[in-house]
Amino acid sequence: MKDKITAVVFMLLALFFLIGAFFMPFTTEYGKYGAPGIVPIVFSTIVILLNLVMFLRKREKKVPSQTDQDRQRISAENKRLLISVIICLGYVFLLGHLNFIILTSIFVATLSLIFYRKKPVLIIVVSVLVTYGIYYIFEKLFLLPLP
Amino acid sequence: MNVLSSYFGYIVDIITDPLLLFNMAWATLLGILVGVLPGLTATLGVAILTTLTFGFPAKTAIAMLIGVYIGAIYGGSRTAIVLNIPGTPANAATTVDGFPIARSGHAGFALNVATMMSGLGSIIGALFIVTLAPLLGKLALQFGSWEFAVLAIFGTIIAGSLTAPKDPLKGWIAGFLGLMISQIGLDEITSYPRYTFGNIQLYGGIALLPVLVGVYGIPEILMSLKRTTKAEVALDFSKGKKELSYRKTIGKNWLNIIRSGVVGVFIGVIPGVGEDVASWVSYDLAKRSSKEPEKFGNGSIEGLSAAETANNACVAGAIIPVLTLAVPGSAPAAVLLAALWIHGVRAGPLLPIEHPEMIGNVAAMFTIATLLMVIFGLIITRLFLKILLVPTEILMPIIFVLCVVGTYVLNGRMFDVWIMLLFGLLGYFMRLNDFPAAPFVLGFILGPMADTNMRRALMLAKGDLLPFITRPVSLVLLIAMVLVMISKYIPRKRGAKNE
Repeated sequence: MKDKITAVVFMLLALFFLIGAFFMPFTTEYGKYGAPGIVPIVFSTIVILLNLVMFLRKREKKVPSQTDQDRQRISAENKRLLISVIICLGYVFLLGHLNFIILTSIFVATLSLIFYRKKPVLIIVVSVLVTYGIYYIFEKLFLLPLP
Repeated sequence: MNVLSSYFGYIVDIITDPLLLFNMAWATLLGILVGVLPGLTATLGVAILTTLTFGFPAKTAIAMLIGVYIGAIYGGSRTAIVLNIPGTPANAATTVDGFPIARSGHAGFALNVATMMSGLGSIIGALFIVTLAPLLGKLALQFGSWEFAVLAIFGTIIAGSLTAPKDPLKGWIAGFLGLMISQIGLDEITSYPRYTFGNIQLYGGIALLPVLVGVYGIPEILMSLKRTTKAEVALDFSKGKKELSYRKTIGKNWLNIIRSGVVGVFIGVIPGVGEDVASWVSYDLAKRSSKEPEKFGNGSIEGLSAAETANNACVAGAIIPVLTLAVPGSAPAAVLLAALWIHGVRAGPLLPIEHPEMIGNVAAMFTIATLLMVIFGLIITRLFLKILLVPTEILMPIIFVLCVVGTYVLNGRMFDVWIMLLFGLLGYFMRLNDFPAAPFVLGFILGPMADTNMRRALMLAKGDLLPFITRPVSLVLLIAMVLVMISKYIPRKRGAKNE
């Protein structure tokens, strides 16, 4: 079932590319064989065909039965994943709006402390030092501006 | 012969340049560190260092990137042996015998054997760079648009077949998705903006580095952060060196070492197929030809030697097509290719003409980085293992910051960071559904080459497709491609009937 859903998602993406390719000019100063849409048409068609094969094939995959322990672990993992994604996205959203050293120190310390609830002082110190280290290497040593 | 003699000259050049040697040393050390830390791949290490080497001269930057690449592939063996977790995917086969040896009290011996074998593998690889690259370069000069177009698709399909052996269809889908997505941006022949929707940021296409960091780095960070289980550590150095002899190990394994080295190099040459495949294939060959196959999986020194020799030899193999065809042999080699472009070195068939010194120079850098790797490996291995005590929960947020910063400094725009996150999401989705990342990335890299050459071939032949099958190299590649695709399904069907 997972494969069929994936196949549909990829087919829709390829269909988008295929339709887009048909809106491109068919004749150019290099003649009709220089048309920019030719190769995208070929590749998106192949993606659609390959995904169609994946959608139509019959594959019986043995799904191992889940114990209560498994379900609890998966639920805990999903929760951790969701928290990580939200905090990481929040960090990127705020980049450029807040001072890099302050924001990054808070980000590293927060994400670490949420999952590793030991030695908070050490984690905060490490977060600030690592952030300053990154800032120094990129901004001062290699003269590469940070957001 | 010319390249071989200049190779030794370049080695002397590097040794007598203290600044270059120093930069190579810390880059190799950084590579070992990247390899030691589970979750950080050689690809990510090379990508992050690429952003740090913008300001360096091209020669220094390339030497450092080679150092980090070799170091990372080797460093992964440390974690594989003491933690039973491959530090990089290249060391997966190392865990099978490395961990049992370590658990039996010979951790020090296993670590040192892996160091020696990695060193020998790299030296075999360096010799192949010197001898094979010029030959491949001459062959590449005969290639026309037809051959390059077929080669791009051939590479993507082979990478798909080998990185998804259980379900090659997913490997091919990943590869063609990469080829398709690479078409975004101005096309190289008519400069028509494809799929840009008026967004100026997309006119230049999607940069390789955000895609690589996204597809490889973000899924690894998310997987590590969500994991709730902890690994067993086998840091048991209780038994000394007396019980096992290094000299006997090499003496008994010389054929295995040479075979694994050669296999590693040739697998490396195949586009997109990386060190992980090389070490598994060599491991399998070593088991088949061993007098003690029953020891494999329970602490076989032959098995450990085969895996570690092959994955480091593969690094050299992966660099050979980068230099001669501008086609990367593995994912980290793909970043190396991007770094070469960034530093003004146009890899490909014209490289021996535009930069005649480059092949010998790269082989020399490779040799020096190997020596540094062996020295560091033998001296400070145990110190490095203390890094494993750093919890993933602390490490991964820092790695995320490095991914974001490394992507941002590429062009100094947040757009690349968002692209990196978007591809990170795609990479995570692909990994959850067992789609390999390597063919996707290779397809993304080879897409522009496929596009330009396919249309150029059509224009030259006025739309005639016959040259694709009348030109010998193109025909051989097409036949090989079809055979690879068919061979993946014929045994499967027979097996299914038997069941």
